[in-house]
Amino acid sequence: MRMSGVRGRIPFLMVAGLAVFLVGCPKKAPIPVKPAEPAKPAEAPDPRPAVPKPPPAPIPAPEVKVEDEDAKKAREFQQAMRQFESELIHFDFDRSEIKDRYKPVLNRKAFFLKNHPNVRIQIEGHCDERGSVQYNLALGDRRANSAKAYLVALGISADRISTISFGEERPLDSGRNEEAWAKNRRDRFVIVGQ
Amino acid sequence: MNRFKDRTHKRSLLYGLVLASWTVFWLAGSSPLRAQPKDFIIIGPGGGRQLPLAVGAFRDMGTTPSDTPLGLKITQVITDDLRATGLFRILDPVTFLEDPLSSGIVPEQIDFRSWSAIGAEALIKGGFRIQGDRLEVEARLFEVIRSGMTAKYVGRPEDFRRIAHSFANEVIRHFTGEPGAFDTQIAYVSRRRGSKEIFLMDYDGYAPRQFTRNRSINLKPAWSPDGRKLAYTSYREGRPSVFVADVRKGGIRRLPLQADMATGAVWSPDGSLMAVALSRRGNTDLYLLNAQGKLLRRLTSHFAIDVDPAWSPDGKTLAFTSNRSGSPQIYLVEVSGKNFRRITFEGRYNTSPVWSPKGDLIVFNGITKGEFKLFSIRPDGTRLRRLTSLKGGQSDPSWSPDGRFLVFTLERGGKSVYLLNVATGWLRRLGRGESPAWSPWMKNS
Repeated sequence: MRMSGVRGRIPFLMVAGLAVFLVGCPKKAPIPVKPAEPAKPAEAPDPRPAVPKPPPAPIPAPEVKVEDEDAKKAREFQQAMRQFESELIHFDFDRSEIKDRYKPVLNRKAFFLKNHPNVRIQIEGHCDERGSVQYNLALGDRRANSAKAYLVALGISADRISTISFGEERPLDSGRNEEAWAKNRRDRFVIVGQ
Repeated sequence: MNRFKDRTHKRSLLYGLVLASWTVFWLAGSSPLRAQPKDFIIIGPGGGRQLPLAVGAFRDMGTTPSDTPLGLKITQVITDDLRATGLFRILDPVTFLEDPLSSGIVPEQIDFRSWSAIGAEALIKGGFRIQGDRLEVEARLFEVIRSGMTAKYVGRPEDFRRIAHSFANEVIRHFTGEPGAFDTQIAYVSRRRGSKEIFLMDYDGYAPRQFTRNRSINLKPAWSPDGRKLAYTSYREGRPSVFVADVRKGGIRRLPLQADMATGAVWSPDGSLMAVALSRRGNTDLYLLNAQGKLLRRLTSHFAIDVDPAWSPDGKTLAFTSNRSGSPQIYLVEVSGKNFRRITFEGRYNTSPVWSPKGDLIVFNGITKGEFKLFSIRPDGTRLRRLTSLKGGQSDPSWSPDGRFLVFTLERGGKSVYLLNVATGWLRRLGRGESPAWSPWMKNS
């Protein structure tokens, strides 16, 4: 049977029209758009914000509980490591003494190192760009050793701490102003082993 | 490359010219019968006026003498070299009167009157021939007062710069008694993404080529006195250490030194010693090594930072930077380790001393109004002078072996290597880079 022209399409149109009728006509409650939200049948809308259903209660079992604690410890350790590495200390121009305001930072690092006796670290000493290349290598070396001495005085074993100087070679901020230079005069603490 | 010279006396041919100028000098009241050829005329800054010099375009002497780009390039290299010394007033080719088509490079073919008419007291002319892979250059210097000289060179066409520099060296030797240093090299540091590599270039900034290729941080190149080796400080094996590389053959070895950090090794002028800064337990001091890099003795022993060793030309004294007085200043010490003395007392921050080849000056950089500038001072601490009024931070000075020039780092946005004529203040930018080290005299290969 050849389908051509409108006449040939009448059976199709009838089927299509029926489909539209079936889909378009029912006047039920609207289908919820967000599957997470519970369906609200025709009652007054709740003025409070929608509360998600609580997850099913865990099946109590001793093994599951221990795993959580280990995972929690691991997570906390990761967090502490990140904090350890992210906190820098800074120095005055041409100086390598630990300033009072950074002593709490070093105290925190010592605390972390005491709690995790297997962790080994490297302290990087850095300078701003002023000064000769070689002088800044020496000054960075001093700054790294200055922080190491402080941690050792707090009881951290010296063989857990190595030092390296990058002089003016690895600035954080390449700007040529006081603000950038102050950022670059720093020690950075990197965990190199556990 | 072979080179042979032919010092020819052309008195008879220049007789007419000499007679003319003799008359002029007699009228002006001064004697033309000057020094014998062995006495050299002191010309240029500090000794008199600049000598008016004309440099004629070097011509291709093939079947049809003509002007070619190569000839103009050779002429340009020689002209640039001689101009840089400040000894000559280079005459503008626009003023040249001589007919380029009929003139040549031998006296018979030169109309000297047309040159003296424009004020030239010395004239350079030359020609070249290319046959396949062989370049021959003949260069002549003519002088009004004394005899000139002729030099002939053979090389490859791509060596034309080297040939031109060699002739310029001889022109300087002719006038001052000491050769020029135009064929020497400069080692310097260039930034790559995240790393710093050592490069070499001609003294005038041409032919830059990469020397280290280890993709780490490489610093402070220093030449051995024979120009065969380069020492440098590198993170290539972790912590900063000193490496010595053969410039021609490319071998590298690390100086095995017991220290947390070894930096800034420099050879003594006779090559028998090296000075280096070693850091141990947070303290940096200067040490002396033998020529093989083996530790000989400690030079400074102070809880302060002692760095930047620089040898006097007689090898008896070292200048260095120390902050033992509370801030970085320039100090001297005998190689025996005795007689420490401070020589800079102005400014809060003075580093990077370098001793002039004649031993009369120490150049360093000092912070003035928040920025590094170049200064010179006598070894006895007198006559502190600022070298340039350039804007931008200036640091890492290094002397040419003839004591005529300095190269240094200029920071203005980025870092570039600049060339400075110390007597005249003339400046030239050589290219992007920092921490330049001028080679010693190059021996002929």
